[in-house]
Amino acid sequence: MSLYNYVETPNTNLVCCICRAPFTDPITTRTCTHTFCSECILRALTHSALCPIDRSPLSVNDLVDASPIVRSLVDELVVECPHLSEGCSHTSQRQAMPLHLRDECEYGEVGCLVDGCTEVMKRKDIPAHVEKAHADSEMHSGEEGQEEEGSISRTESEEHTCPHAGIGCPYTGPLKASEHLESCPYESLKGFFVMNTARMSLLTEQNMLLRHRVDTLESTVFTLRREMNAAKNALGPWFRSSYHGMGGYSVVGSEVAGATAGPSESGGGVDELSPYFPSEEVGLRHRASSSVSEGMYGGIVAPLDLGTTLEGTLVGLRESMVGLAAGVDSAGRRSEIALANETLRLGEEMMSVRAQMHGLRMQVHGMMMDRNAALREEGYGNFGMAGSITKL
Amino acid sequence: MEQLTSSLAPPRASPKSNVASSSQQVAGSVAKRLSNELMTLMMSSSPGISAFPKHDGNLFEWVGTIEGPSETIYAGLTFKISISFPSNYPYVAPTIKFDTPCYHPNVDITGGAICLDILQDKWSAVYSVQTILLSLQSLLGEPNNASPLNPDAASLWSTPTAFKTQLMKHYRPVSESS
Repeated sequence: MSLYNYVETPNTNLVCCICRAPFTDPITTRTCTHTFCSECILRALTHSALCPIDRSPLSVNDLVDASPIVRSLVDELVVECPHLSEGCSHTSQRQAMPLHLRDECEYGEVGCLVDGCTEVMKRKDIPAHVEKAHADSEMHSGEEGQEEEGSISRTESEEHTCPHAGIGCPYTGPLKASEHLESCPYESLKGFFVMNTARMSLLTEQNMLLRHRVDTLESTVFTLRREMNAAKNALGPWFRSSYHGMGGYSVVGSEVAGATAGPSESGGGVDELSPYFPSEEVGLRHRASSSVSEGMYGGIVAPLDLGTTLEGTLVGLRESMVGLAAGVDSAGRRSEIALANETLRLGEEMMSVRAQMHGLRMQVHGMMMDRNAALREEGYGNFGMAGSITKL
Repeated sequence: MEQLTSSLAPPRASPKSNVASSSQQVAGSVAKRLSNELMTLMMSSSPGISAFPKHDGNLFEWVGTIEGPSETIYAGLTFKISISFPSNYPYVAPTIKFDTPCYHPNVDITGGAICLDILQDKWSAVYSVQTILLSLQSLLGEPNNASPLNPDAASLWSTPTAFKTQLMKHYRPVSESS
């Protein structure tokens, strides 16, 4: 819920329907994919655990960061400086406005640059403040010193301290400030100290700026690492093999020697930065890549083309599967046809053999009939003979 | 949750000043949303409804008017309502009541309180003055007789002539009541 005024009317798709302003730190619900400002939806959830738009049940655990596109779209909206009414007509992208307020805006609230001063004022008032409040602050501290010393030697009423006591002049004595200054060594160094203070403040400011940038970068690195982890999880074993694509392949060629060389080659880019970050995955990656190089692509199965993307390989595999299926199909059909032909031919042959058999049987039958007739005629004459023949 | 805190962390470069001005900032954000709603309401020109802050400089008290929808028993009548926004609006519903006496099954005839689910437990932070006024307008023509705040009106609803007599007996034109 930022209170910036937007230069142009923002696209209604980028407006949070709770606060009616463009999203600030947008959050999307995982269950119903509605987007809100993080602050708005977190507050709404404390009142009721439902999505404000569709009343579906919602808990804090269902909230995820909105898509980076949405984040950039709202961060890049142009806003007016909040101090417009006081005279700052600066406009910038929303994400740059905090920086403007802190480092540039004449009306931004900043702390006094002088050490030990806790006053907060508008930037443009600082020079006047420094001149006014800190010109005599040295006098002030001098007086304080005097009071402390006064408690020790209260009897000596006329005790003065040097106006430069704040930067180290130890003088205390009866001489008035103006008289002492003539001989004070710090008087001649006054210019140097002013310059030094100015440089110190400049450096402090730069340091702040750099620290902010480091913070931003660190958070970016964190986000990137998280995304990387998510991608790695999604890819599973493919992540490592494609990550080490170049190194891994040379390893397959030169078996054992490459096994140790591979990881260090390809891991080189990572190792440069690794001292700056806790190295939790490095060991894992080394182990994984060496196992990949030794075991999986040893010989029996033709190695997958690790140079291409996962998608490309999958498409290739699918194509060859389709090819194989077609081959199996056509082979099956061909053998079926051959079988049918053979069966037909055999059937025909059987038929012809059966016909021949039939012919032969008829002939034998005829012959037997003739023979029987002849024997019967003979039988009337010679019965015993006929009996012996039938026995045969 | 981890994701949330990490994403919330970077903008809080100066937590001290944030804490100091947070209550002021919340009030500012409510005012900002209310002025945004006022602008939307004035630009949209919805027929028969209007609303405006009661006094200059106080965005938390509004007065509104609703015209009875045509082809209902309330046609031609205008009702004045008052809207009071809590400091944690829009997370909590505004308090709304009829200033013009309204003889209606779901409206308390003396106090002007309204029985409407979206003003109570069904309230959602995405509702606005405009959606409330439109809901009230349609409530006039289509009362919920199952849970009446004014049982007499609920029982008379089925006999329009008798209902109309009662309605006109209680009704007072806007100019008179204001």
